[in-house]
Amino acid sequence: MKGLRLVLLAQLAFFALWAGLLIGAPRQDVGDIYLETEPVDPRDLLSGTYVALSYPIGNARTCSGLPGSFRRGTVYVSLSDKGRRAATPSGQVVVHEADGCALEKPRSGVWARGNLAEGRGGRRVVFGIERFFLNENDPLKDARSGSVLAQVRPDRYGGLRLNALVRKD
Amino acid sequence: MASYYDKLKRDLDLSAAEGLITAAQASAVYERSLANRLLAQWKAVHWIALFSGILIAAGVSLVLAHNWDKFGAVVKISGFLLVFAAAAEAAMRLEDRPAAAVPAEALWFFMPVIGIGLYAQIFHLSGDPMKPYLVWAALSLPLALLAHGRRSAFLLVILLFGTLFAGTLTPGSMLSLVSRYGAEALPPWWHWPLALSVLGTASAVGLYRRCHSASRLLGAALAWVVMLLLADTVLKVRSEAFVLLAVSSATALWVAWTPAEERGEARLPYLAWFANVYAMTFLWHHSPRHQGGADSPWGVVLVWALFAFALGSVALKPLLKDAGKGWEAAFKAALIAPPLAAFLLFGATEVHAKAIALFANLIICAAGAGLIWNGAMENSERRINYGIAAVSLIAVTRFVDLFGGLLNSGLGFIGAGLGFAALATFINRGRKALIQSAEEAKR
Repeated sequence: MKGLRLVLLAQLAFFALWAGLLIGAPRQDVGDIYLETEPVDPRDLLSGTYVALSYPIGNARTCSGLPGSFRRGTVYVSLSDKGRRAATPSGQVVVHEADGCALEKPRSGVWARGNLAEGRGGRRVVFGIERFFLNENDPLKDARSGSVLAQVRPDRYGGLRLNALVRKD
Repeated sequence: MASYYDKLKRDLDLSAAEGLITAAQASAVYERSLANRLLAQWKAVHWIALFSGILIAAGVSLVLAHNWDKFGAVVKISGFLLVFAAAAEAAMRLEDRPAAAVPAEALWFFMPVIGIGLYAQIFHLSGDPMKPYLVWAALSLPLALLAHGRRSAFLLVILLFGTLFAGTLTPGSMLSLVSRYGAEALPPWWHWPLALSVLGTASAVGLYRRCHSASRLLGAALAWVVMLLLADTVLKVRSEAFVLLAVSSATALWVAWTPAEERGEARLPYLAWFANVYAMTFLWHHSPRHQGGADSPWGVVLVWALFAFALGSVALKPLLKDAGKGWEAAFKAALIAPPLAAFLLFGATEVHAKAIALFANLIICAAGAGLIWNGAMENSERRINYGIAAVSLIAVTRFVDLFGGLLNSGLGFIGAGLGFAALATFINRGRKALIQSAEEAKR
């Protein structure tokens, strides 16, 4: 019984720590930023209601400056305001775009940690924010990648947290 | 309806009352019989209780999903942690009441994956599809090892083997061992130790907790190896001879390494052996064709290793307990004949393929006749029936195979029907006569 209680405590501690990390991870110096999305064909219909997302910042050409021998693994994508704006119901917002990617963490600026991998459509960087789960009655259910902006929050470890989808006007 | 174990208990009590055996012996026999079956103590109410646990788990996640927007993240997580703790406490405290403990433990086992799904939905997490299953297995491993019963271990082994098959044989996951369709690059080498550690953990838990038979674990592992040889992995083999040699060696290994004490109950290894030889009989229609790609060197090495191991095991291991040397030799010959026959397929012509098919028919007929003979000598109705089933299946298959083309008229169908009716009558008479002689010998 004592051993099992320890098992339970370890399991609960795992979920509590994970929640703490997800909720309380320190942010980068920038607030929420917006990322452009591009059309994607959602294929997995078994995982509940979600909008499948794909991001131009994940294109393989973002990482074209990396050594040719580097085929897969963790990369750091620099993001910046290159002057692109998008109209949303709450006004114009800045859309961050990729500057390039590196194998080392950038020392300044906004950046995101991703995983360069071979996907269905060739090599891409994935950030773990490729699905936006929502209620079955949510009007965004019919949104498609490319018609929305992703409002994300970069944390200090380079993780991106997907906060909301915003329709483009 | 009284279960087998109720009847066994009654018979044992009766035997003890009549003085045939002592009460202690009756109790010991009953306990041993129960211990052999994981779910023996389960009655209908326990199965219903298990389903109720699964339904509760599914219901909780559905209710949360439907009321998604009404709760904040902290409320959802707190609620989840409370339900998690409550399910685990209930499983621990109500251990002596299976109707409550079974669903509680099932809920406890499934809580990690419910939590991972919940967090993924709250925080919109996506990524490798196998990662949640591996995390779930890692979180549930201590429960499977320490829980009083073997239910969690039973479920964990299924989870691990499911993850192993799904993860290694589909491209793109952290366990994947296959390349994407059209892509030349294979997944990184470190997927192999990860996949092997999943296989090792599943086997170790299954053996340590005795929640699955050693034969079943070995069969699952061999099936996985064969799948790796057939899929687009670093081990792929494409020539038919190597594929046949691998499958035949794997089935021989499975039968040879099924522990003697499990061999009476384990029918799957024999069924796999029979299915392989039966499939070989269809090589009669085989014509050499262009193979889809080259064999990989590692795959070829593995197939030779499987064959060598099968040959060595069958040759050196005593396989039949308390059987004469003749039966032991016949059993060994039946096991090793299919892999040896596969050699005829190297550089095959149609003649070689037909020779294998003929040989496979002979193996099945000989095995069937051996079973009938052995069954009649050792008074085993079951062996007689198996032997007759094997011979009958070959007879019917070959009839349809060779004369199926003649069934193009009503008279042809009537003739075939009458022929099968006569065959069935003769077989049934022979079967009854053999069983009767076996029963008389028993008396």
